[in-house]
Amino acid sequence: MAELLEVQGLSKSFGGVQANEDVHLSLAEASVRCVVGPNGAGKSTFVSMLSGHTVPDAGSIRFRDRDIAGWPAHKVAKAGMVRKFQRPSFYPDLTVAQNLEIPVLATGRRRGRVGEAVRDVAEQVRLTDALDVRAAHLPHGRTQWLEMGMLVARDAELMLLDEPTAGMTPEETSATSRLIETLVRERGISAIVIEHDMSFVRSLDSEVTVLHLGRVIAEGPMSVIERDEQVRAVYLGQEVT
Amino acid sequence: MDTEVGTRPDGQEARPTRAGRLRALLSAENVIAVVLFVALFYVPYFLVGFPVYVLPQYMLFGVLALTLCLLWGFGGMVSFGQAAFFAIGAYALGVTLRDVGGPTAPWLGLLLALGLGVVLAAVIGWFLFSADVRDSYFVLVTLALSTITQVLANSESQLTGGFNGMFVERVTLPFGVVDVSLAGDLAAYYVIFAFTLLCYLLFRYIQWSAFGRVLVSIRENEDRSRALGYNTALYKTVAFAVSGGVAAVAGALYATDAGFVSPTLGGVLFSTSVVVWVAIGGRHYFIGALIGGIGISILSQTLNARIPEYWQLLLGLLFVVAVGFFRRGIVGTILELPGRMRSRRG
Repeated sequence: MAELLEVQGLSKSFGGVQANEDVHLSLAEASVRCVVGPNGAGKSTFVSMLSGHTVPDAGSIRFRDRDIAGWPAHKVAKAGMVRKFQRPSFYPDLTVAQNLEIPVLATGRRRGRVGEAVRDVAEQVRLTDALDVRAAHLPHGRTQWLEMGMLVARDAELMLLDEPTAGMTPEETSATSRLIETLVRERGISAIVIEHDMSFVRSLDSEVTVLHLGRVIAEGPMSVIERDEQVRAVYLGQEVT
Repeated sequence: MDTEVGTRPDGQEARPTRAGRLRALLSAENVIAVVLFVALFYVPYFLVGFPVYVLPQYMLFGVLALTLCLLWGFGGMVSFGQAAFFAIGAYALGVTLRDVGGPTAPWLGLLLALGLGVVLAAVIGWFLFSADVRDSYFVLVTLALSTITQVLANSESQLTGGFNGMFVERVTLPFGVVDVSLAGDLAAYYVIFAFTLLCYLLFRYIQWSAFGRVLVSIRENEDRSRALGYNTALYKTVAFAVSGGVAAVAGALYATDAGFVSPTLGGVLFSTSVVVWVAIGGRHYFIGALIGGIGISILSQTLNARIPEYWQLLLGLLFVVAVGFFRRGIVGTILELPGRMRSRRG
Protein backbone atom coordinates (compact mmCIF):
# COMPACT_ATOMS: atom_id res chain seq x y z
CA MET A 1 0.00 0.00 0.00
CA ALA A 2 1.24 3.47 -0.83
CA GLU A 3 2.17 5.54 2.16
CA LEU A 4 0.70 8.99 2.79
CA LEU A 5 4.14 10.54 2.94
CA GLU A 6 7.43 9.13 1.68
CA VAL A 7 10.54 11.22 2.19
CA GLN A 8 13.85 10.07 0.73
CA GLY A 9 17.36 11.43 0.66
CA LEU A 10 16.34 14.91 1.76
CA SER A 11 19.34 17.21 2.13
CA LYS A 12 19.84 20.89 2.75
CA SER A 13 22.86 22.96 3.60
CA PHE A 14 23.08 26.61 4.51
CA GLY A 15 26.47 27.93 3.51
CA GLY A 16 28.87 25.37 4.96
CA VAL A 17 26.40 23.97 7.48
CA GLN A 18 24.73 20.70 6.60
CA ALA A 19 21.28 21.16 8.19
CA ASN A 20 19.76 17.96 6.81
CA GLU A 21 21.54 15.06 5.16
CA ASP A 22 19.84 12.11 3.52
CA VAL A 23 16.80 12.30 5.80
CA HIS A 24 14.16 9.67 5.20
CA LEU A 25 10.75 9.11 6.73
CA SER A 26 7.63 7.31 5.71
CA LEU A 27 4.22 7.78 7.22
CA ALA A 28 1.02 5.75 6.81
CA GLU A 29 -2.50 7.18 6.65
CA ALA A 30 -3.98 8.24 9.98
CA SER A 31 -0.80 7.95 11.98
CA VAL A 32 1.46 10.14 14.08
CA ARG A 33 5.21 10.51 13.91
CA CYS A 34 7.28 12.42 16.39
CA VAL A 35 10.54 13.95 15.27
CA VAL A 36 12.91 14.60 18.14
CA GLY A 37 16.49 15.64 18.48
CA PRO A 38 18.70 18.09 20.36
CA ASN A 39 18.85 21.75 19.37
CA GLY A 40 20.41 22.18 15.96
CA ALA A 41 19.53 18.65 14.90
CA GLY A 42 17.76 20.00 11.82
CA LYS A 43 14.16 19.43 12.90
CA SER A 44 12.91 22.84 11.86
CA THR A 45 14.73 22.71 8.54
CA PHE A 46 13.13 19.35 7.93
CA VAL A 47 9.63 20.68 8.57
CA SER A 48 10.30 23.78 6.50
CA MET A 49 11.23 21.62 3.55
CA LEU A 50 8.08 19.55 3.95
CA SER A 51 5.86 22.65 4.16
CA GLY A 52 7.46 24.37 1.18
CA HIS A 53 9.10 27.16 3.15
CA THR A 54 12.60 25.92 2.32
CA VAL A 55 13.68 24.43 -0.98
CA PRO A 56 15.68 21.20 -0.50
CA ASP A 57 19.05 20.75 -2.20
CA ALA A 58 18.32 17.11 -2.97
CA GLY A 59 15.85 14.37 -2.25
CA SER A 60 12.20 13.71 -2.81
CA ILE A 61 9.03 14.34 -0.80
CA ARG A 62 6.22 12.18 -2.09
CA PHE A 63 2.88 13.19 -0.63
CA ARG A 64 -0.05 11.18 -1.92
CA ASP A 65 2.20 9.98 -4.74
CA ARG A 66 3.13 13.41 -5.95
CA ASP A 67 6.64 14.74 -5.54
CA ILE A 68 6.06 18.07 -3.86
CA ALA A 69 9.69 18.91 -3.11
CA GLY A 70 10.29 22.57 -3.97
CA TRP A 71 6.62 23.48 -4.26
CA PRO A 72 5.67 26.89 -2.83
CA ALA A 73 4.05 26.81 0.61
CA HIS A 74 0.55 27.69 -0.55
CA LYS A 75 0.49 24.80 -3.03
CA VAL A 76 1.72 22.35 -0.41
CA ALA A 77 -1.06 23.48 1.91
CA LYS A 78 -3.58 23.11 -0.89
CA ALA A 79 -2.38 19.56 -1.45
CA GLY A 80 -3.33 18.79 2.16
CA MET A 81 -0.15 19.20 4.21
CA VAL A 82 -0.54 22.20 6.51
CA ARG A 83 1.94 23.57 8.99
CA LYS A 84 1.65 25.03 12.46
CA PHE A 85 4.63 27.28 13.07
CA GLN A 86 6.86 27.10 16.10
CA ARG A 87 6.17 30.71 17.07
CA PRO A 88 2.53 31.75 17.49
CA SER A 89 0.93 32.51 14.14
CA PHE A 90 -2.73 33.37 13.91
CA TYR A 91 -4.80 36.54 13.39
CA PRO A 92 -4.64 38.33 16.75
CA ASP A 93 -7.03 41.16 15.86
CA LEU A 94 -9.74 38.89 14.50
CA THR A 95 -12.17 36.87 16.59
CA VAL A 96 -11.72 33.16 17.10
CA ALA A 97 -14.62 32.53 14.70
CA GLN A 98 -12.94 34.64 12.03
CA ASN A 99 -9.61 32.92 12.63
CA LEU A 100 -11.29 29.62 11.87
CA GLU A 101 -13.30 31.05 8.99
CA ILE A 102 -10.22 31.93 6.92
CA PRO A 103 -8.97 28.32 6.67
CA VAL A 104 -12.52 27.06 6.08
CA LEU A 105 -12.87 29.49 3.15
CA ALA A 106 -9.61 28.07 1.76
CA THR A 107 -11.29 24.69 1.38
CA GLY A 108 -13.68 26.22 -1.14
CA ARG A 109 -16.78 25.36 0.89
CA ARG A 110 -19.96 27.10 -0.16
CA ARG A 111 -20.77 30.21 1.83
CA GLY A 112 -23.77 28.68 3.57
CA ARG A 113 -21.68 25.83 5.01
CA VAL A 114 -18.86 27.93 6.41
CA GLY A 115 -20.47 28.74 9.77
CA GLU A 116 -21.28 25.10 10.35
CA ALA A 117 -17.69 24.02 9.67
CA VAL A 118 -16.36 26.76 11.97
CA ARG A 119 -18.59 25.63 14.85
CA ASP A 120 -17.69 22.01 14.23
CA VAL A 121 -13.95 22.70 14.49
CA ALA A 122 -14.42 25.05 17.46
CA GLU A 123 -16.12 22.27 19.34
CA GLN A 124 -13.29 19.87 18.58
CA VAL A 125 -10.65 22.26 19.94
CA ARG A 126 -12.89 23.41 22.82
CA LEU A 127 -13.22 27.02 21.73
CA THR A 128 -17.00 27.10 21.34
CA ASP A 129 -17.34 29.45 24.31
CA ALA A 130 -14.75 31.84 22.86
CA LEU A 131 -15.94 32.19 19.24
CA ASP A 132 -16.55 35.95 19.61
CA VAL A 133 -13.37 36.63 21.58
CA ARG A 134 -10.49 38.41 19.88
CA ALA A 135 -7.75 35.84 19.43
CA ALA A 136 -5.25 38.21 21.05
CA HIS A 137 -7.22 37.91 24.29
CA LEU A 138 -6.94 34.11 24.49
CA PRO A 139 -4.57 32.57 27.03
CA HIS A 140 -1.48 31.04 25.46
CA GLY A 141 -2.54 27.40 25.74
CA ARG A 142 -5.78 28.09 23.94
CA THR A 143 -4.04 29.91 21.08
CA GLN A 144 -2.07 26.72 20.46
CA TRP A 145 -5.36 24.87 20.19
CA LEU A 146 -6.75 27.60 17.97
CA GLU A 147 -3.81 27.12 15.64
CA MET A 148 -4.36 23.39 15.51
CA GLY A 149 -8.04 24.10 14.92
CA MET A 150 -7.06 26.24 11.95
CA LEU A 151 -5.25 23.28 10.41
CA VAL A 152 -8.28 21.07 10.99
CA ALA A 153 -10.53 23.77 9.54
CA ARG A 154 -8.29 23.74 6.46
CA ASP A 155 -9.12 20.04 6.05
CA ALA A 156 -5.46 19.16 6.53
CA GLU A 157 -4.72 15.52 5.82
CA LEU A 158 -1.29 15.82 7.36
CA MET A 159 -0.58 18.34 10.10
CA LEU A 160 2.98 19.52 10.57
CA LEU A 161 3.07 20.52 14.22
CA ASP A 162 6.19 22.42 15.20
CA GLU A 163 6.29 22.29 19.01
CA PRO A 164 2.55 22.21 19.70
CA THR A 165 2.98 22.16 23.48
CA ALA A 166 5.57 24.91 23.87
CA GLY A 167 4.66 27.02 26.89
CA MET A 168 1.85 24.75 28.03
CA THR A 169 1.09 23.55 31.54
CA PRO A 170 1.38 19.76 32.12
CA GLU A 171 -2.42 19.43 32.10
CA GLU A 172 -2.67 21.30 28.81
CA THR A 173 0.13 19.17 27.39
CA SER A 174 -1.63 15.92 28.14
CA ALA A 175 -4.93 17.33 26.84
CA THR A 176 -3.07 18.20 23.63
CA SER A 177 -1.82 14.66 23.15
CA ARG A 178 -5.40 13.42 23.63
CA LEU A 179 -6.61 15.98 21.08
CA ILE A 180 -4.10 14.73 18.51
CA GLU A 181 -5.15 11.14 19.16
CA THR A 182 -8.81 12.11 18.73
CA LEU A 183 -8.11 13.91 15.46
CA VAL A 184 -6.30 10.85 14.14
CA ARG A 185 -9.06 8.49 15.25
CA GLU A 186 -12.13 10.54 14.30
CA ARG A 187 -10.97 12.46 11.28
CA GLY A 188 -8.21 10.24 9.97
CA ILE A 189 -5.73 13.13 10.06
CA SER A 190 -2.04 12.30 10.26
CA ALA A 191 0.52 14.38 12.09
CA ILE A 192 4.23 14.94 12.19
CA VAL A 193 5.06 16.38 15.59
CA ILE A 194 8.30 18.11 16.48
CA GLU A 195 8.79 18.15 20.22
CA HIS A 196 11.20 18.69 23.04
CA ASP A 197 8.91 17.43 25.77
CA MET A 198 9.74 13.74 26.21
CA SER A 199 6.73 12.97 28.40
CA PHE A 200 4.52 14.36 25.66
CA VAL A 201 6.21 12.21 23.03
CA ARG A 202 5.83 9.19 25.30
CA SER A 203 2.14 9.92 25.87
CA LEU A 204 1.51 10.09 22.12
CA ASP A 205 2.81 6.52 21.91
CA SER A 206 3.75 6.82 18.25
CA GLU A 207 6.74 5.99 16.09
CA VAL A 208 9.66 8.31 16.69
CA THR A 209 12.36 9.57 14.36
CA VAL A 210 15.50 10.86 16.05
CA LEU A 211 17.58 13.44 14.22
CA HIS A 212 21.12 14.32 15.17
CA LEU A 213 23.36 16.71 13.24
CA GLY A 214 20.92 16.59 10.34
CA ARG A 215 20.80 12.81 10.03
CA VAL A 216 18.34 10.15 11.13
CA ILE A 217 20.10 8.15 13.81
CA ALA A 218 17.19 6.04 15.03
CA GLU A 219 13.64 5.22 14.18
CA GLY A 220 10.99 3.15 15.91
CA PRO A 221 8.56 3.06 18.82
CA MET A 222 9.46 5.22 21.81
CA SER A 223 10.03 2.17 24.01
CA VAL A 224 12.75 0.95 21.66
CA ILE A 225 14.21 4.40 21.03
CA GLU A 226 14.59 4.98 24.74
CA ARG A 227 16.85 1.94 25.02
CA ASP A 228 18.99 2.84 22.00
CA GLU A 229 22.51 3.52 23.23
CA GLN A 230 23.40 6.06 20.59
CA VAL A 231 20.22 8.03 21.20
CA ARG A 232 20.83 8.04 24.92
CA ALA A 233 24.33 9.26 24.33
CA VAL A 234 23.48 12.18 22.07
CA TYR A 235 20.21 13.31 23.42
CA LEU A 236 17.97 11.69 25.93
CA GLY A 237 20.56 11.44 28.64
CA GLN A 238 19.16 11.96 32.12
CA GLU A 239 15.60 12.33 30.99
CA VAL A 240 15.16 8.66 30.12
CA THR A 241 16.29 7.18 33.40
CA MET B 1 -15.25 43.59 22.33
CA ASP B 2 -13.75 45.63 19.55
CA THR B 3 -15.40 45.91 16.22
CA GLU B 4 -13.04 44.75 13.56
CA VAL B 5 -12.58 45.26 9.91
CA GLY B 6 -14.42 43.20 7.39
CA THR B 7 -16.49 41.57 10.01
CA ARG B 8 -19.55 41.84 12.06
CA PRO B 9 -18.83 42.35 15.74
CA ASP B 10 -21.52 39.94 16.87
CA GLY B 11 -20.01 37.11 14.84
CA GLN B 12 -23.28 36.75 13.00
CA GLU B 13 -21.58 34.74 10.30
CA ALA B 14 -21.44 31.90 12.77
CA ARG B 15 -25.08 32.20 13.80
CA PRO B 16 -27.14 33.62 10.96
CA THR B 17 -30.39 34.40 12.71
CA ARG B 18 -32.93 36.82 11.30
CA ALA B 19 -32.39 39.23 14.18
CA GLY B 20 -28.64 39.05 13.66
CA ARG B 21 -29.01 39.80 9.98
CA LEU B 22 -31.24 42.76 10.71
CA ARG B 23 -28.79 44.07 13.29
CA ALA B 24 -25.98 43.80 10.77
CA LEU B 25 -28.05 45.67 8.22
CA LEU B 26 -28.77 48.45 10.70
CA SER B 27 -25.14 48.81 11.77
CA ALA B 28 -23.93 52.34 12.49
CA GLU B 29 -21.76 52.11 9.39
CA ASN B 30 -24.72 51.43 7.10
CA VAL B 31 -26.82 54.12 8.75
CA ILE B 32 -24.09 56.70 8.19
CA ALA B 33 -23.75 55.58 4.57
CA VAL B 34 -27.49 55.93 3.95
CA VAL B 35 -27.52 59.39 5.55
CA LEU B 36 -24.55 60.48 3.44
CA PHE B 37 -25.97 59.28 0.14
CA VAL B 38 -29.45 60.64 0.85
CA ALA B 39 -27.90 64.00 1.75
CA LEU B 40 -25.78 64.00 -1.42
CA PHE B 41 -28.86 63.10 -3.45
CA TYR B 42 -30.81 66.08 -2.14
CA VAL B 43 -28.01 68.66 -2.31
CA PRO B 44 -29.13 70.01 -5.74
CA TYR B 45 -32.66 70.46 -4.34
CA PHE B 46 -31.41 72.99 -1.80
CA LEU B 47 -28.24 74.42 -3.25
CA VAL B 48 -27.51 75.81 -6.68
CA GLY B 49 -24.44 76.99 -8.53
CA PHE B 50 -20.98 76.33 -7.18
CA PRO B 51 -21.74 73.43 -4.77
CA VAL B 52 -23.51 71.47 -7.51
CA TYR B 53 -20.60 72.17 -9.84
CA VAL B 54 -17.83 71.22 -7.43
CA LEU B 55 -19.31 68.39 -5.33
CA PRO B 56 -19.06 65.77 -8.12
CA GLN B 57 -15.31 66.34 -8.23
CA TYR B 58 -15.15 65.79 -4.48
CA MET B 59 -17.23 62.64 -4.81
CA LEU B 60 -14.66 61.35 -7.29
CA PHE B 61 -11.94 62.21 -4.76
CA GLY B 62 -14.02 60.15 -2.34
CA VAL B 63 -13.94 57.21 -4.77
CA LEU B 64 -10.19 57.64 -5.05
CA ALA B 65 -10.05 57.43 -1.25
CA LEU B 66 -12.09 54.19 -1.44
CA THR B 67 -9.48 52.64 -3.74
CA LEU B 68 -6.74 53.43 -1.21
CA CYS B 69 -8.92 52.18 1.65
CA LEU B 70 -9.13 48.75 -0.01
CA LEU B 71 -5.35 48.58 -0.30
CA TRP B 72 -4.37 50.16 3.00
CA GLY B 73 -7.21 49.52 5.42
CA PHE B 74 -8.01 46.02 4.22
CA GLY B 75 -4.89 44.74 2.47
CA GLY B 76 -2.29 46.52 4.60
CA MET B 77 -0.56 48.04 1.56
CA VAL B 78 0.01 51.79 1.75
CA SER B 79 0.03 53.24 -1.74
CA PHE B 80 1.30 56.68 -2.62
CA GLY B 81 0.46 55.95 -6.24
CA GLN B 82 -3.31 56.38 -6.33
CA ALA B 83 -3.06 59.79 -8.01
CA ALA B 84 -1.05 58.19 -10.81
CA PHE B 85 -3.95 55.90 -11.71
CA PHE B 86 -6.38 58.82 -11.39
CA ALA B 87 -4.30 60.91 -13.80
CA ILE B 88 -3.74 58.03 -16.22
CA GLY B 89 -7.51 57.55 -16.41
CA ALA B 90 -8.02 61.28 -16.91
CA TYR B 91 -5.50 61.46 -19.77
CA ALA B 92 -6.86 58.24 -21.31
CA LEU B 93 -10.29 59.82 -21.70
CA GLY B 94 -8.89 63.15 -22.83
CA VAL B 95 -6.66 61.62 -25.51
CA THR B 96 -9.44 59.32 -26.76
CA LEU B 97 -11.87 62.22 -27.10
CA ARG B 98 -9.27 64.30 -28.93
CA ASP B 99 -7.76 61.64 -31.22
CA VAL B 100 -10.63 59.23 -31.84
CA GLY B 101 -13.79 61.27 -31.59
CA GLY B 102 -17.26 60.17 -32.57
CA PRO B 103 -20.24 59.28 -30.42
CA THR B 104 -18.66 56.15 -28.90
CA ALA B 105 -15.43 57.90 -27.93
CA PRO B 106 -16.58 58.58 -24.33
CA TRP B 107 -17.22 54.89 -23.71
CA LEU B 108 -13.97 53.97 -25.44
CA GLY B 109 -12.17 56.48 -23.27
CA LEU B 110 -13.68 55.14 -20.06
CA LEU B 111 -12.88 51.57 -21.14
CA LEU B 112 -9.33 52.55 -22.00
CA ALA B 113 -9.01 54.19 -18.57
CA LEU B 114 -10.30 51.07 -16.86
CA GLY B 115 -8.07 48.79 -18.93
CA LEU B 116 -4.94 50.87 -18.40
CA GLY B 117 -5.58 51.14 -14.66
CA VAL B 118 -6.21 47.42 -14.23
CA VAL B 119 -3.35 46.22 -16.43
CA LEU B 120 -0.77 48.66 -15.09
CA ALA B 121 -1.67 47.85 -11.48
CA ALA B 122 -1.78 44.12 -12.18
CA VAL B 123 1.65 44.11 -13.85
CA ILE B 124 3.31 46.26 -11.19
CA GLY B 125 1.52 44.37 -8.42
CA TRP B 126 2.46 40.95 -9.70
CA PHE B 127 6.13 41.85 -10.03
CA LEU B 128 6.27 43.35 -6.55
CA PHE B 129 4.09 40.93 -4.63
CA SER B 130 5.42 37.73 -6.15
CA ALA B 131 8.90 38.98 -5.17
CA ASP B 132 7.45 39.58 -1.68
CA VAL B 133 8.00 43.33 -1.71
CA ARG B 134 6.18 44.66 1.34
CA ASP B 135 5.61 47.60 3.62
CA SER B 136 7.87 50.59 3.13
CA TYR B 137 9.43 49.14 -0.03
CA PHE B 138 5.99 48.99 -1.60
CA VAL B 139 5.40 52.60 -0.51
CA LEU B 140 8.63 53.65 -2.24
CA VAL B 141 7.68 51.97 -5.51
CA THR B 142 4.24 53.59 -5.51
CA LEU B 143 5.85 56.96 -4.75
CA ALA B 144 8.05 56.43 -7.79
CA LEU B 145 4.96 55.58 -9.83
CA SER B 146 3.42 58.97 -8.98
CA THR B 147 6.64 60.79 -9.76
CA ILE B 148 7.09 59.01 -13.09
CA THR B 149 3.49 59.72 -14.08
CA GLN B 150 3.90 63.42 -13.40
CA VAL B 151 7.24 63.59 -15.22
CA LEU B 152 5.87 61.73 -18.27
CA ALA B 153 2.74 63.90 -18.35
CA ASN B 154 5.04 66.92 -18.45
CA SER B 155 7.47 65.61 -21.03
CA GLU B 156 5.17 63.79 -23.48
CA SER B 157 3.57 67.03 -24.52
CA GLN B 158 2.30 65.85 -27.93
CA LEU B 159 0.16 63.32 -26.12
CA THR B 160 -0.72 65.12 -22.91
CA GLY B 161 -0.34 68.79 -23.63
CA GLY B 162 2.63 68.81 -21.28
CA PHE B 163 3.02 71.55 -18.75
CA ASN B 164 0.01 73.45 -20.12
CA GLY B 165 -2.31 70.56 -19.40
CA MET B 166 -5.19 69.34 -21.50
CA PHE B 167 -8.71 70.59 -21.88
CA VAL B 168 -11.40 67.90 -21.86
CA GLU B 169 -14.97 68.54 -22.97
CA ARG B 170 -18.05 67.43 -21.07
CA VAL B 171 -19.01 64.14 -22.74
CA THR B 172 -22.34 62.69 -23.81
CA LEU B 173 -22.70 59.05 -22.84
CA PRO B 174 -24.97 57.02 -25.15
CA PHE B 175 -26.96 54.50 -23.07
CA GLY B 176 -28.66 52.57 -25.89
CA VAL B 177 -31.89 54.50 -26.46
CA VAL B 178 -31.08 57.58 -24.39
CA ASP B 179 -28.04 59.77 -24.52
CA VAL B 180 -26.98 61.26 -21.20
CA SER B 181 -25.14 64.50 -21.63
CA LEU B 182 -22.89 65.61 -18.85
CA ALA B 183 -22.85 69.13 -20.23
CA GLY B 184 -25.24 70.43 -17.60
CA ASP B 185 -23.96 70.53 -14.03
CA LEU B 186 -27.08 68.83 -12.72
CA ALA B 187 -26.79 65.86 -15.11
CA ALA B 188 -23.10 65.53 -14.35
CA TYR B 189 -23.92 65.64 -10.65
CA TYR B 190 -26.30 62.72 -10.77
CA VAL B 191 -24.20 60.60 -13.13
CA ILE B 192 -21.22 60.97 -10.83
CA PHE B 193 -23.44 60.47 -7.76
CA ALA B 194 -24.61 57.15 -9.25
CA PHE B 195 -21.01 56.17 -10.03
CA THR B 196 -19.93 56.97 -6.47
CA LEU B 197 -22.79 54.95 -4.99
CA LEU B 198 -21.97 52.01 -7.28
CA CYS B 199 -18.31 52.13 -6.29
CA TYR B 200 -19.21 52.23 -2.60
CA LEU B 201 -21.49 49.21 -3.01
CA LEU B 202 -18.80 47.40 -5.00
CA PHE B 203 -16.25 47.92 -2.25
CA ARG B 204 -18.71 46.88 0.45
CA TYR B 205 -19.42 43.74 -1.56
CA ILE B 206 -15.69 43.03 -1.78
CA GLN B 207 -15.46 43.51 2.00
CA TRP B 208 -18.27 41.00 2.55
CA SER B 209 -16.96 38.46 0.04
CA ALA B 210 -14.55 35.65 0.80
CA PHE B 211 -11.93 37.61 -1.14
CA GLY B 212 -12.28 40.57 1.24
CA ARG B 213 -12.01 38.40 4.31
CA VAL B 214 -8.89 36.71 3.01
CA LEU B 215 -7.44 40.12 2.16
CA VAL B 216 -7.92 41.18 5.80
CA SER B 217 -6.25 37.97 6.94
CA ILE B 218 -3.29 38.80 4.72
CA ARG B 219 -3.06 42.22 6.37
CA GLU B 220 -3.14 40.54 9.77
CA ASN B 221 -0.66 37.75 9.07
CA GLU B 222 0.41 37.10 5.50
CA ASP B 223 2.62 34.11 6.32
CA ARG B 224 -0.23 32.35 8.09
CA SER B 225 -2.58 32.86 5.15
CA ARG B 226 0.01 31.61 2.71
CA ALA B 227 0.67 28.54 4.83
CA LEU B 228 -3.07 27.86 4.85
CA GLY B 229 -2.99 27.56 1.06
CA TYR B 230 -3.68 31.07 -0.20
CA ASN B 231 -1.57 32.48 -3.00
CA THR B 232 -1.26 35.78 -1.18
CA ALA B 233 0.68 37.48 -3.98
CA LEU B 234 -2.23 36.82 -6.31
CA TYR B 235 -4.76 38.17 -3.80
CA LYS B 236 -2.77 41.37 -3.32
CA THR B 237 -2.31 41.75 -7.07
CA VAL B 238 -6.05 41.44 -7.67
CA ALA B 239 -6.74 44.02 -4.93
CA PHE B 240 -4.21 46.39 -6.49
CA ALA B 241 -5.70 45.87 -9.96
CA VAL B 242 -9.26 46.55 -8.77
CA SER B 243 -8.03 49.61 -6.93
CA GLY B 244 -6.08 50.87 -9.96
CA GLY B 245 -8.97 50.26 -12.35
CA VAL B 246 -11.56 52.08 -10.24
CA ALA B 247 -9.15 54.96 -9.57
CA ALA B 248 -8.55 55.35 -13.31
CA VAL B 249 -12.26 55.42 -14.17
CA ALA B 250 -12.82 57.98 -11.41
CA GLY B 251 -9.99 60.01 -12.94
CA ALA B 252 -11.59 59.83 -16.39
CA LEU B 253 -14.90 61.11 -15.01
CA TYR B 254 -12.99 63.83 -13.17
CA ALA B 255 -11.37 64.93 -16.43
CA THR B 256 -14.66 65.40 -18.22
CA ASP B 257 -16.34 66.96 -15.20
CA ALA B 258 -13.59 69.42 -14.30
CA GLY B 259 -12.75 70.03 -17.96
CA PHE B 260 -9.03 70.21 -17.41
CA VAL B 261 -6.18 67.80 -16.64
CA SER B 262 -2.68 68.85 -15.67
CA PRO B 263 0.42 66.81 -14.79
CA THR B 264 0.14 67.66 -11.07
CA LEU B 265 -3.00 65.49 -10.96
CA GLY B 266 -0.74 62.44 -11.10
CA GLY B 267 1.89 63.75 -8.73
CA VAL B 268 3.18 62.82 -5.30
CA LEU B 269 1.46 65.80 -3.69
CA PHE B 270 -1.99 64.68 -4.76
CA SER B 271 -1.21 61.07 -3.88
CA THR B 272 -0.24 62.23 -0.41
CA SER B 273 -3.55 64.07 -0.09
CA VAL B 274 -5.35 60.79 -0.72
CA VAL B 275 -3.39 59.16 2.10
CA VAL B 276 -4.27 62.09 4.39
CA TRP B 277 -8.00 61.82 3.57
CA VAL B 278 -8.07 58.13 4.32
CA ALA B 279 -6.01 58.47 7.51
CA ILE B 280 -8.26 61.22 8.87
CA GLY B 281 -11.51 59.60 7.77
CA GLY B 282 -10.61 56.13 9.00
CA ARG B 283 -8.91 53.50 6.91
CA HIS B 284 -10.74 50.51 8.34
CA TYR B 285 -14.15 51.55 7.03
CA PHE B 286 -14.98 52.39 3.44
CA ILE B 287 -17.46 54.97 4.67
CA GLY B 288 -14.63 56.59 6.65
CA ALA B 289 -12.47 56.89 3.56
CA LEU B 290 -15.36 58.23 1.48
CA ILE B 291 -16.27 60.86 4.06
CA GLY B 292 -12.60 61.69 4.48
CA GLY B 293 -12.21 62.29 0.74
CA ILE B 294 -15.36 64.35 0.31
CA GLY B 295 -15.27 66.10 3.68
CA ILE B 296 -11.68 67.23 3.65
CA SER B 297 -12.02 68.44 0.07
CA ILE B 298 -15.01 70.57 1.11
CA LEU B 299 -13.14 71.76 4.18
CA SER B 300 -10.05 72.64 2.16
CA GLN B 301 -12.18 74.55 -0.34
CA THR B 302 -14.02 76.50 2.38
CA LEU B 303 -11.00 77.26 4.50
CA ASN B 304 -8.92 78.13 1.48
CA ALA B 305 -11.46 80.84 0.67
CA ARG B 306 -11.64 82.16 4.25
CA ILE B 307 -8.12 81.78 5.64
CA PRO B 308 -5.79 80.96 2.75
CA GLU B 309 -2.71 81.45 4.96
CA TYR B 310 -3.59 78.90 7.59
CA TRP B 311 -5.78 76.15 6.17
CA GLN B 312 -2.95 73.89 5.16
CA LEU B 313 -1.49 74.28 8.61
CA LEU B 314 -4.89 73.35 10.07
CA LEU B 315 -5.12 70.34 7.79
CA GLY B 316 -1.65 69.31 8.87
CA LEU B 317 -2.63 69.61 12.53
CA LEU B 318 -5.75 67.56 11.88
CA PHE B 319 -3.59 64.88 10.28
CA VAL B 320 -1.17 64.85 13.21
CA VAL B 321 -4.03 64.63 15.70
CA ALA B 322 -5.71 61.83 13.74
CA VAL B 323 -2.48 59.85 13.44
CA GLY B 324 -1.47 60.51 17.04
CA PHE B 325 -4.74 60.12 18.90
CA PHE B 326 -7.35 58.66 16.57
CA ARG B 327 -5.49 55.88 14.88
CA ARG B 328 -8.72 54.60 13.40
CA GLY B 329 -9.58 58.00 11.98
CA ILE B 330 -12.50 60.23 12.89
CA VAL B 331 -15.28 58.11 11.38
CA GLY B 332 -13.59 54.91 12.52
CA THR B 333 -13.35 56.19 16.09
CA ILE B 334 -17.02 57.20 16.13
CA LEU B 335 -18.10 53.85 14.72
CA GLU B 336 -16.16 51.98 17.36
CA LEU B 337 -17.32 54.02 20.36
CA PRO B 338 -20.27 51.73 21.26
CA GLY B 339 -18.08 48.63 21.18
CA ARG B 340 -15.42 50.35 23.31
CA MET B 341 -17.96 51.39 25.89
CA ARG B 342 -19.51 47.94 26.03
CA SER B 343 -16.14 46.27 26.56
CA ARG B 344 -15.26 48.79 29.29
CA ARG B 345 -18.44 48.00 31.16
CA GLY B 346 -18.04 44.26 30.56
